[in-house]
Amino acid sequence: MVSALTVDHIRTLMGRKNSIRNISVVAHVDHGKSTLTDSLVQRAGIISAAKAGDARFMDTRKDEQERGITIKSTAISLYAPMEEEDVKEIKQPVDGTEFLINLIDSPGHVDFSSEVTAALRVTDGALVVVDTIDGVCVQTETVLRQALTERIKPIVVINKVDRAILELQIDKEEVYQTFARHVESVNVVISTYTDESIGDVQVYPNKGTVAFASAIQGWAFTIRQFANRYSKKFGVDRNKMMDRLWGDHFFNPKTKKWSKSATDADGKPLERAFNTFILDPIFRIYSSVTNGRKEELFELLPKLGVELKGDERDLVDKPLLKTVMRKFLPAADALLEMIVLHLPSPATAQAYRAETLYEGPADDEAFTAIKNCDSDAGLMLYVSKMVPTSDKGRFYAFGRVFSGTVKSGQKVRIQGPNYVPGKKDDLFIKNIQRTVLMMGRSTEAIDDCPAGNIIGLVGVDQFLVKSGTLTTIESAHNMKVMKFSVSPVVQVAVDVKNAADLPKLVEGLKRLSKSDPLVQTTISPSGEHIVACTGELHLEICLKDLGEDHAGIPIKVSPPVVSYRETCTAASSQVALAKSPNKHNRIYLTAEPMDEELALAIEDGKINAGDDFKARARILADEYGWDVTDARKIWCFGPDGTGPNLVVDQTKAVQYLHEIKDHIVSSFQEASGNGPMLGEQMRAIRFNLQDVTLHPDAIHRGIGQVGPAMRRATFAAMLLAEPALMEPVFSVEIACHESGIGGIYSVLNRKRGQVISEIQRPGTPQFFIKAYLPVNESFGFTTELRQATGGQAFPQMVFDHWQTMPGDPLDPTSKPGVLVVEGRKRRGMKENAPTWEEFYDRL
Amino acid sequence: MSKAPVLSSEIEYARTEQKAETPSIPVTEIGDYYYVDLIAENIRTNGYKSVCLQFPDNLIRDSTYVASLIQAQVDAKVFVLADTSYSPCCVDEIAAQHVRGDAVFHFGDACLNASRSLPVVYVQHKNFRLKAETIMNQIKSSENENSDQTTDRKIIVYPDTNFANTAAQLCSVDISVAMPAPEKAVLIPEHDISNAQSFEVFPNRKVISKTDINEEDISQYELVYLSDSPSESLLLYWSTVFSSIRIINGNGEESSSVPALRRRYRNVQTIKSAGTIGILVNTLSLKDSIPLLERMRSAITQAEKKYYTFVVGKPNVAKLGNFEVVDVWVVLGCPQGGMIMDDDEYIKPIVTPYELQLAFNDEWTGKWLLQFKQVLNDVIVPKKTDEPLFDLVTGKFAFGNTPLREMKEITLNDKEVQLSSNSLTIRNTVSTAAKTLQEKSWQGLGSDHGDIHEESAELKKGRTGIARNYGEMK
Repeated sequence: MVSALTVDHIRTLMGRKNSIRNISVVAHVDHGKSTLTDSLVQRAGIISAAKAGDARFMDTRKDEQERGITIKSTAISLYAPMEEEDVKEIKQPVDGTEFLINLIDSPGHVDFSSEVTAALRVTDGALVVVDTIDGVCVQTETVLRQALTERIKPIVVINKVDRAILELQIDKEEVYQTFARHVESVNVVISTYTDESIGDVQVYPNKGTVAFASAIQGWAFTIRQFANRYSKKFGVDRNKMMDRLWGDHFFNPKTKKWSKSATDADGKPLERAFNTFILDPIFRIYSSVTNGRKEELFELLPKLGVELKGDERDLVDKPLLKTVMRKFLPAADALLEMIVLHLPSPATAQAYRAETLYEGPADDEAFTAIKNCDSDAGLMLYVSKMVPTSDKGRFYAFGRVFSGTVKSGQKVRIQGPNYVPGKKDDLFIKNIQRTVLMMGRSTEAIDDCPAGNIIGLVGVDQFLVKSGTLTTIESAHNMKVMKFSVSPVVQVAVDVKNAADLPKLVEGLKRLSKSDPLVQTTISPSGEHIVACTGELHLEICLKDLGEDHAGIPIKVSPPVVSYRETCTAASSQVALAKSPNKHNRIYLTAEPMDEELALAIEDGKINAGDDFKARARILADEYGWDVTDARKIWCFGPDGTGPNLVVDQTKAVQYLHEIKDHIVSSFQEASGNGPMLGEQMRAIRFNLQDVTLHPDAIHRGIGQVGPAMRRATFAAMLLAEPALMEPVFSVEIACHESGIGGIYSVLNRKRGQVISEIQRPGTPQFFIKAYLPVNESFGFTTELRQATGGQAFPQMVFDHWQTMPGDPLDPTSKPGVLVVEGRKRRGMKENAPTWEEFYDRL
Repeated sequence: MSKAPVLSSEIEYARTEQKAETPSIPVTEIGDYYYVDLIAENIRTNGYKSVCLQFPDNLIRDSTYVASLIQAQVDAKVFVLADTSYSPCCVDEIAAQHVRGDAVFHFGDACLNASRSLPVVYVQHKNFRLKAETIMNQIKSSENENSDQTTDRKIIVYPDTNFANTAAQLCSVDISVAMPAPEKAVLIPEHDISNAQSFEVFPNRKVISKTDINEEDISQYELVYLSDSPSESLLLYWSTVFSSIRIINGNGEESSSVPALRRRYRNVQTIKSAGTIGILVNTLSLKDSIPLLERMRSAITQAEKKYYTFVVGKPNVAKLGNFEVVDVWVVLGCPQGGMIMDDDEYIKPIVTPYELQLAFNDEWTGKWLLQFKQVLNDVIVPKKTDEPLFDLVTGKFAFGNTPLREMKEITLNDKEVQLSSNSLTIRNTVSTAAKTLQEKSWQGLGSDHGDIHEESAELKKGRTGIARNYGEMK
């Protein structure tokens, strides 16, 4: 066991960029991330060995400890000294045998996947934990996809092996098959989303990129470790041994020969090498302990090199098992070895990550510095989230130094997400007060921090809302903004119970927006404070934080409501004509629906308002079947200049048209942000400007005239094109026992759910059901599902897509019509949605 | 869409048809209805040589009849002031000064606010439709509904000036009425308002009541507002003062739609993140308007924001829409009729001077004041921090909300400026306006020509005349 490190020692290691590993631990909820992390933390000497397994050191909040789930991602630094021999195997440059591992434990519940995104950004490798019993789940897939798009290399831990042995009572070959199946499923996901530039990132047990573990009992192994033991015994090269210990390799104990077929010369079955050499000792330990045959165990242990001390020999059952297994296969050894050997150092990773990290050109000073992970170059630091300090209302800015060295007292440029090079918006030049190492619950002050490390900063939180770039390079562009896989589609209105508390609520909302990477706080047109979250659990946690911590006052909360989108389902049945207030200008506009793929591409930022228009036109023509001329004449995106609605100029030879482009664009932002039916944003609509008639005098065609006309035309064109509402839809994954299936189906049916797949886990009565569920119906879904299945089923819900609701929203008796009327009432608008005639002007 | 519709063509301007208006009441009754005799007497006693009659838009069709009836009785010149520029409840002194009027006779509902110079006479008209009994019945009808409180319900009736005559009769049945009591001006006909109390909440009014009303107890009262076109701003103000409000119109029908105070909250927040504030002067005659304008200007400057002052006549969406640089409009106008409360159609939010005060003092008290005198007297200078402002409306930081500070901070030696010299300076002068111009895609004539060598256009004779009636259209 290693004793605690001094900060000075850590600082020395931080300077060796080849000896650092930054990793996130990611997985589906309850697959054992935090427990696994605990066993690593134990190794760094921070908590005692006895407590690992149930301490949840990384869960720093009270509610996390109570609920047993992780809500916020937490970072910690670990120290891993390696053997000289092992270090030689590392296929990238190294500095000595000591390694520093910066590890971030992240939440597994889908509602908090924004925390995962923030963690992935600052790390280079991901430790993906997969439950032996549950296998690859929806969130496993989501985080893997996120990791790969950020160019983060995965390694896999198959966890809870003890449950397979103790609870399922399956035999060795079945255990092997289960492992193989999980590895295969992970590789399927990886090959789907892989990015060529980081090379082959599939995982292979025989190459040591998969570990098998029981985090709760504190043990884990990789095939490499067993190969180490046996290579000496057999006199075989270790790498050859590793290959033999996985897959179809069999050992004939009689002939002492290796073979590739499962039967010997006489046709008798042979045991798989993995089962013989790896699973067998483990199974024997388990069976001797659980059956109380201690003598057998004591006989076996010396062969495995395990020595029990005096009172340890008196233990029985699980404590004995835990002690023995932990001595036999210490979890930390296996995991640290895997991390150090197979994950990239910052120096290696930044070389291929630079282009996905940096917005600016690929040849400027900042880009080169990031690419080389150069601690002597200018500073480039990305703040990915804010961590609350003990000082209420203040935060540590948590981030990663990508180049240069950040020091206490250093003067830096703080560039928020709206910063544009050469402008002063969202730019502050401030001193960093202090730099600290984030150590789970505590922090350690440190004077400076070189490139490649994860760090907490004091004194910059006032200048950033959620994330941003810190730099000392004046020409630096921003680091790329993080893309989240979830959207805040569930919202509530909050208010104070006591009018005098309003300033506290306002301050609390500001703090809440800082402390969570995704939550949105806004004011609705009717003057209510709105808090928007990803799901019910996220909402619950945010409101609890708001009430208890950030604002510290009792809060009234409205029932949750869903945000909708307004769209159209056909081309406008006639050209919409709108006149300006002075009747001297006319706009002719049509609307038509846009492909869902294109709308998604715009939302994902693949098609971007800032792109070169010729390159964008090419993509639109090639991939989305647009006419090139049209594609080149996209005037704007909206709302906010980036949204998934477009205005295309199809006019011919209109005088003064360029003069009014700005007016049309700014008016369209407003119109597409507040649709005519519900005041919600429009989505996936393409507007074609057919013709414009303008007054010959400039004064009569100003923005005051053209703006209102464009707004009317936009609304009329949309309402003429068979308008519809889009509602957000969750993808739900439910694991359940056979007996609960009926209950699940009946709840899903009642809630407009739609089952996509039902898969039985081979050999078990466990079923996986995947379904789509409208967010609007999801409130109380978890409770109802539990009731219907006797508490067995636990759903995981994550925003999946926008779905057009059938029915005419303008007909108050249809389903969307009812929503429109209710929504309008709530917003204090006239009850009946306007028809196109209200925005249409006759010639 | 296969084919675009017809290309731009000459516009055929439609002329609006002129309709002849008939008076609102039978011609024979007009003299009596508007108290023409009393008006004539007033002119004679004061010896006015030239008088102006000001009608609101809905009564303008009666104006010529009234004018000729008065003209027949007096020696003075009688003018009708057409097209009041600002709120119809206020006296249009400027228009009166154009004809060197000695006095203004104001018809229709009036706010009774003191004017700056001219003598003013407020003429009420008789009310045939609304009877005191109708009002009583309306008040009583709801009394029965909640019968437990019948005994000591506290009610104050606030009539439009036109309903004041009718309302005065209610005093006899133990209901308090806020009667018009302008400071200097004359009322036709006059009311007996001796021993009436005046209250802060009813400017230019005095409450006649049988029992003494304690100013502090006023929040326990129920307000009955008699009006055909209730003023949204007054309603909102009173909703923060009285326990409940009922509106009864001239036909005795009741409604109670009071604007929501909560909606104003968002507007107050938008002021904080605004960089440029447009002061829209919507009155030229109110007495306290100039000092308030000065206070507003200094408060805005103290908050390090820019302002422009506008007078646009009657405001509408298109007029205000033309000034793109303005982030928020603040209206300086008559508290009764000069505020724009429903700003849904407008491109930028519109606020009141009091809301400006709320935003600058960073408070939200649940009060909502209208009176000029009380507003912006105590603006706390916001403490200077370099922290960005968290905009509650958008949930993001607001930028450019203190342009004056930015101007101070920018110097030409600043590296930032040198980096972006084109976007922040015009001929070596630092200007935030330059920034606005840079952001536009069309920056004026010539900027769009580029290198394209088009054939020069042929000169033609253009249109002549003014917009509503071009020469060729005769």
